[in-house]
Amino acid sequence: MVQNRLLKSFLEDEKINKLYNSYLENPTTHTKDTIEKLFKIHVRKLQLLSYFSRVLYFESQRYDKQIRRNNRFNQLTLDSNINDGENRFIDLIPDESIDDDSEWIYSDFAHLEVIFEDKQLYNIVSKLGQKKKYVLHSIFVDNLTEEEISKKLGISKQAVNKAKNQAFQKIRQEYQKNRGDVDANK
Amino acid sequence: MPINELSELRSAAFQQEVLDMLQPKIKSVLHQTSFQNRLDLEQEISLMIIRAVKTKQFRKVPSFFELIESEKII
Repeated sequence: MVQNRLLKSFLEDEKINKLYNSYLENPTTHTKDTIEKLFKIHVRKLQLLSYFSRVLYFESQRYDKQIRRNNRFNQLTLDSNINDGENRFIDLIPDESIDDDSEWIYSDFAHLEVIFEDKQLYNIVSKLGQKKKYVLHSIFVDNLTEEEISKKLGISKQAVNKAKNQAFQKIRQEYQKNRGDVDANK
Repeated sequence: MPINELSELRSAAFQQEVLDMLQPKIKSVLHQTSFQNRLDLEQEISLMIIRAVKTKQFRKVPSFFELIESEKII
């Protein structure tokens, strides 16, 4: 009885067992070569199998680690959803390239102040920048949404909102200053 | 060394056989990573196996009749 485990597993195959027995009865070089060849294939298969059953676990762990690492270094923070998926984080970053004092050629809206009857408001609004006038005009006269304006101007929604708020703030400030002047004159 | 001396060990059929034998192991190992990455990992592992089947060198094993002889001595 064969003791070696490798030989045992090899001879377990019925075909090989038969081949081996036929070789024992009738030893020819051809059968011997065939057996040697089959044995080599068998051994290599076993070697590969045991090698991979040891290695694959660690390989997969390494792979997972690498993916985690990549995710940590290349975070998609700006693409994450806010407001229940309505917007993305990147929308909140202001466009620095938009300069409030840059030349705006909106001649139609350059005279927004003429619609005001109040003299104080007329003075204040006439001092605003052209972009702010355009935004205010679009919102309150043309009834556009901020998003539509942003599309028209080719800037972000947030920039429109910023311009609007700045315009409001300026108007409020000037208004209060004027009232203070009037109060002081009394 | 011995890997390339047998054409059977270089054939695509042998690679496929080894891959098929290892399939259950691969499947179980896929749980190491998250669901989205499993297909990628499977592909990586298959590639690794194919590469290793072609090139990996192992300890030299005595031939069949050498082993049989040593059995008889014992």
